[in-house]
Amino acid sequence: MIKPSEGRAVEQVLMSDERHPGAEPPTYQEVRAYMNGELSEEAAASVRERLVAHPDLVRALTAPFPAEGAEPGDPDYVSDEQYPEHWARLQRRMDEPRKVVSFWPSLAAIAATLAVVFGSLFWQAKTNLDAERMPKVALPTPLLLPDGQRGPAEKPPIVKLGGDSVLLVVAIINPTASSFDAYRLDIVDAGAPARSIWRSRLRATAEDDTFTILLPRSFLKPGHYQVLLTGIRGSRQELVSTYSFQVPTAQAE
Amino acid sequence: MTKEERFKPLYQKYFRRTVKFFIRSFHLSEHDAEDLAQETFLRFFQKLDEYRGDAEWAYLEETARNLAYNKIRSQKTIKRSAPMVDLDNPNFHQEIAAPEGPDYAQREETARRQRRLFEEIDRLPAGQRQALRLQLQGFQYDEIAKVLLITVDAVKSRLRDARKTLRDRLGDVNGLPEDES
Repeated sequence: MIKPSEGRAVEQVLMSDERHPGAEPPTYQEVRAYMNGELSEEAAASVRERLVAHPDLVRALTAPFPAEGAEPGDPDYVSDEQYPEHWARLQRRMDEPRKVVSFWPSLAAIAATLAVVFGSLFWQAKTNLDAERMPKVALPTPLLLPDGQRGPAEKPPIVKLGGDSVLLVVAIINPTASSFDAYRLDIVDAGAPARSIWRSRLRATAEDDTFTILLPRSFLKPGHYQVLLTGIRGSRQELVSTYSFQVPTAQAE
Repeated sequence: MTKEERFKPLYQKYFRRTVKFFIRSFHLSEHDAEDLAQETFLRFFQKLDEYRGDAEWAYLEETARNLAYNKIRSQKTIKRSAPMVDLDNPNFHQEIAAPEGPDYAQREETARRQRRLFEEIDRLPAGQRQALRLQLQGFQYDEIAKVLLITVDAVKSRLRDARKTLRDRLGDVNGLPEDES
């Protein structure tokens, strides 16, 4: 039986933009036109395909909207005592778009703001570049092995956030898995909802069948993560292995 | 009856239910959900004179879905270097642990078969593939029918055809949802 975590990991490969270059999600207007039958067959097919590639947007269309309202006494009911505060908030929202803006003073203010913003961005970029050239301490972390390799009872390795950076070393164990032309690595934050937070460019492995990922310490927050290793051979992609690890909270370190 | 007098009882009854709709259906934070709900009711109030009776409710629902859709869509970033994929299965927050049971060779074989299964799903005709992928994401027949603009019977038919095609190609297809009896 396919487990949800396995299905989701492979579903990522299916939904990657290399497989579906046109997978930009449709706009709501496109979706409404599609649902109302206003699109040509070709346009409708495109919207349909892109919708299926984004199931969370499908959920926006299909999730049940509350059919019944709350009654007085129900915790969901906004009482007569609470309503004035809600109404005041609504009125503040209504008032916001009606502010009249003078053009030239606003343009000057915008230009001045942009000058300050770009100036600070340039300074920050220069500072970051200087920092990039300085040595950094990277503490060693456990070698990451494919999920399933560690044995049934063993938990995912713990990666502690010490030093300036974190070195993740990912090992390809299965000999047949090292026969691809190139590889790609993804780091997935396995929180709720799980999401991909980084994708590498295509890489060949080192001679010892490992990949080394250098992460700034600030990149990972406490939680559960997975590295996905995808092998590429010609136009085909195949999920080779997944590597789970945990980043503990500061108290647990 | 003034516009606010018409609006007030609807707000009192449905505001918090709308907040919960956003939280439960789209996993928004309470803050974001309240913000969207406020915006929904603001737009509802502004258009209240144009709608009566059931049409009021339809407009409220349409506005809520529109705002939720745009919120989710705006959070998506599709870049070739670092795509952000929203894996929004509410059951995904399970502990990540090494699976129990079979030995390494059997696990590798299982993983190989599963990869091949998903590759074959990708090769299915568009109608079968779309229906099956939505079903694998947890959508019910009526939801799939709504999105694909077909009948529930057509959804069932496509899913049956998809399973048959996969069995013909792969022989043994474990792990797919079964037909409803």
